[in-house]
Amino acid sequence: MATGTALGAIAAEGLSKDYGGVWGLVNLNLEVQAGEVFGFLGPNGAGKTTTIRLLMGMLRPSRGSARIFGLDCQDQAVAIKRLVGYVPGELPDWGRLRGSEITAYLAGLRGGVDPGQVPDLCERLELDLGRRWREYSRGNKQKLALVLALMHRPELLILDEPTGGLDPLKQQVFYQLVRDARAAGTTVFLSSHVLAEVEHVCDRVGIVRAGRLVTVATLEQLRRLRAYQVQVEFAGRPPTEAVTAADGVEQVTVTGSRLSCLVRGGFAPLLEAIAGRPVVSLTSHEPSLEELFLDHYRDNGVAGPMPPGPAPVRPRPSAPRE
Amino acid sequence: MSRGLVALRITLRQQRTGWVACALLSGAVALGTAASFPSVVGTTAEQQLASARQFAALAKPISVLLPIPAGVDTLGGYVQWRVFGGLPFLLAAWAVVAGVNAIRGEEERGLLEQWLAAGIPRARWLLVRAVGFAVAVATIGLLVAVAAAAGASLGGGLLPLGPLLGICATLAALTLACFGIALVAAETASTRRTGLVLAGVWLGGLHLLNSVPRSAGHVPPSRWLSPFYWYERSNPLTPGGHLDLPATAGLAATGILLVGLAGVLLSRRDLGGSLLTLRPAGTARVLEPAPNPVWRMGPLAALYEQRLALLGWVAVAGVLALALASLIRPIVQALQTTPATRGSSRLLAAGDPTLVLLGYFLFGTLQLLVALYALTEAGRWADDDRTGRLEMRLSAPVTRSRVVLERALALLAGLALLAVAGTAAGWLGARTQGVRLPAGSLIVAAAALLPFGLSLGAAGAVLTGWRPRVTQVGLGSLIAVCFLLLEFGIVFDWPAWLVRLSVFAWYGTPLATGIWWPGLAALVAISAAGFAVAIASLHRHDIGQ
Repeated sequence: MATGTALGAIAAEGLSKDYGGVWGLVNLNLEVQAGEVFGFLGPNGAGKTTTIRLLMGMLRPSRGSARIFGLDCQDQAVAIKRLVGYVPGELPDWGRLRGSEITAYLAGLRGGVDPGQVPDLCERLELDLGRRWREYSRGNKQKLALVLALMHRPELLILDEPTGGLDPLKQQVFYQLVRDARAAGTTVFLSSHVLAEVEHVCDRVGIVRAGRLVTVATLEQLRRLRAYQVQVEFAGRPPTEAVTAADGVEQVTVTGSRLSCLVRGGFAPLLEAIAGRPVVSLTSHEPSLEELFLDHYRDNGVAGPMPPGPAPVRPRPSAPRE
Repeated sequence: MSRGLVALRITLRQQRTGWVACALLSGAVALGTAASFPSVVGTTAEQQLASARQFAALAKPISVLLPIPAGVDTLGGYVQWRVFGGLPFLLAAWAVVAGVNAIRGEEERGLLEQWLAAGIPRARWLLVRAVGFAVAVATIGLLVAVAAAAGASLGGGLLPLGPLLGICATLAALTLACFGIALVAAETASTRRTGLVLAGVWLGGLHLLNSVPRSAGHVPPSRWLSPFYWYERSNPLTPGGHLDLPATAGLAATGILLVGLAGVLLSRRDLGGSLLTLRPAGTARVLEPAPNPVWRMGPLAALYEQRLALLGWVAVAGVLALALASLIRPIVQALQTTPATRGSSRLLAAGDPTLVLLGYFLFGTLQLLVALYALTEAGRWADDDRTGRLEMRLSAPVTRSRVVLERALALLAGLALLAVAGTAAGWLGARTQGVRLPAGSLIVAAAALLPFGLSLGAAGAVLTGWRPRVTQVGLGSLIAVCFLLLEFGIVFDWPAWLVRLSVFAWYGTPLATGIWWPGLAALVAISAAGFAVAIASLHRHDIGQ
């Protein structure tokens, strides 16, 4: 079997998907190394699920190709799935089946499931397999999907927005499961639209928008990009010059006694700059992922030239998920 | 456009498949039956009287199903008996499906929650559904009237328009009452499937309450509880018959009252819950996969999952076969004593009348059941794609070819169970009548049902791999067209080559004349080629699209 650290876990070349005139994904070139936890970030409708379903061989690419551990995602899909654990973006409807029956059914299809693994996962996620699928809450359905993805100790985990519906405590359990999997050498490809989620577990992050990969960054680069919108209301005239000169402070604007700016890194330089001035109020908020990354790359032209291909368009609401 | 009108438009759109299918089938039955009057009943007064005697004799053993015929020597009486005696079954079945889907189906898909979240009160939402159904029923009633009038005209006769519209209105009122019953049944069930069973059993019971006394000879006082009793009080097309307006109005009022009752019940229960909820037994937490080894056995798991439904199919096949075989001797006697129609003369001339008729009724019915089973299975395959189950199966190391082959195997096993149950029950029923059936022919006839069902399943598999959303409509239309082609082909004496286009004809009459080998070979070839094409098309299919 073509596994091992020498090979890239995932490699996509010019991967594109046309949904009959609407491009869900355009010319994706991507490499994910074995043992890495890779976050795939983007807003709704960006192309995350399309990418994942192409990797899983559920969709046929319109152009390009993808390989997992050196195996072609279309021609060697069965061999690939022996190595992969998968959480789909949209959970299936198992109707009246019980969790235990669904687990037994998929374990039978897959084979080679460690008998001790399922109870261990259920214990950690506090999941009762005795209930019917229809009776499960959204969070419990997501937990079962995680159990099904992890029960055979896969070499690659492909997770499409895996924490949807999980409460914060269970999200922490999920992050720990991912860290454990990574420690055991598992590669993880995780899609999300939540910045904090990828910060918890990912080594590198790819950002996708309107079907195109905008950039790939390490977590460190990601943190450097992190910024806060700050507004300070002073009792008198704002110290504009001192604030503008402070490290990591950008886009300073003053309206009367109110000063607005963007702060990257830490808050210490800004606080030093306004020390001694009478502050009436200070508010700070984190811009949304889309505001932060996409505006940043668009404004600064950091992203490389757009790959050749059809003009990016947003998928129709009725078409394919992302 | 107001929210109510938007909801009504969406309601009509959501039920359009059943609506259109029911309308086409009802229209075809009305048109064909009215047009076939001269060829079935005859053109001279003597022929028509002889046919009427024969129908009366034939109808006696099956009075538990159809009303006692009256005045069938006339076009009006014939249409009243055949069309308006049989259509209530079709429309009641549609009402059950539509009523249960309106509540449980919408609830299971999360649509009801969306409607209520949009600020539409529960009672108003149900009212919109009922109005949507009433509009659909009214159009079907009108279509049946037009089709019957057109059919009569094609056959050179004339049906009085007033009475025709009157009986169509009564039929629509009966359908509305059945819809109300289905709504109330759905409120008391916890799932769509349970609701369907409950409503089906309830309506079946009410039908028997009205029909059993016809054959038993005494009328129980509780008969008025059945809506079918009130429906049968109107027979305006029969000579000397009349339209019972109070009964028709009562049926419509019953429907409206039941819709209101369902609205009250809906407002008194939790969404997703039922009125009759059993308290779950306190059980320990389960952390292990189910130990039952069947869940790990591919096609057996699929069969095991639908074991209750399969049991239902087997029971229906058994009961129908037993009933039909039990009736065979009285029917043969009726035909032999009054051989009047061309169809009956042809049947009697084809060989041993018992074998010929048993083959015609028993295996004709089993063929229809097998076709409906194949249609249901194909619908399930299409649902697998829509609900994401197929995606999960394919996320395991399973080839798409294996998926198709396992479906074919599961279908084959289900068909075998149906064929065995139906044939065994038919054999038993015939035996109780002192009719001994040749074992060899019986086994061959049962075995030939398998390629017949598989060929339809193969067509469904091709559609599933190509466009899952059209699978049920496409295969259902194919089955309906083939069935009507055979039925009308015999009645209207259409050319043999035309009738042979029907897949129902390829099965032949194995009990009476032996296997028709070219037809059987075609069924086997279509099954093999169909599933091969299905494998290829599923390989090219984008899952979930």
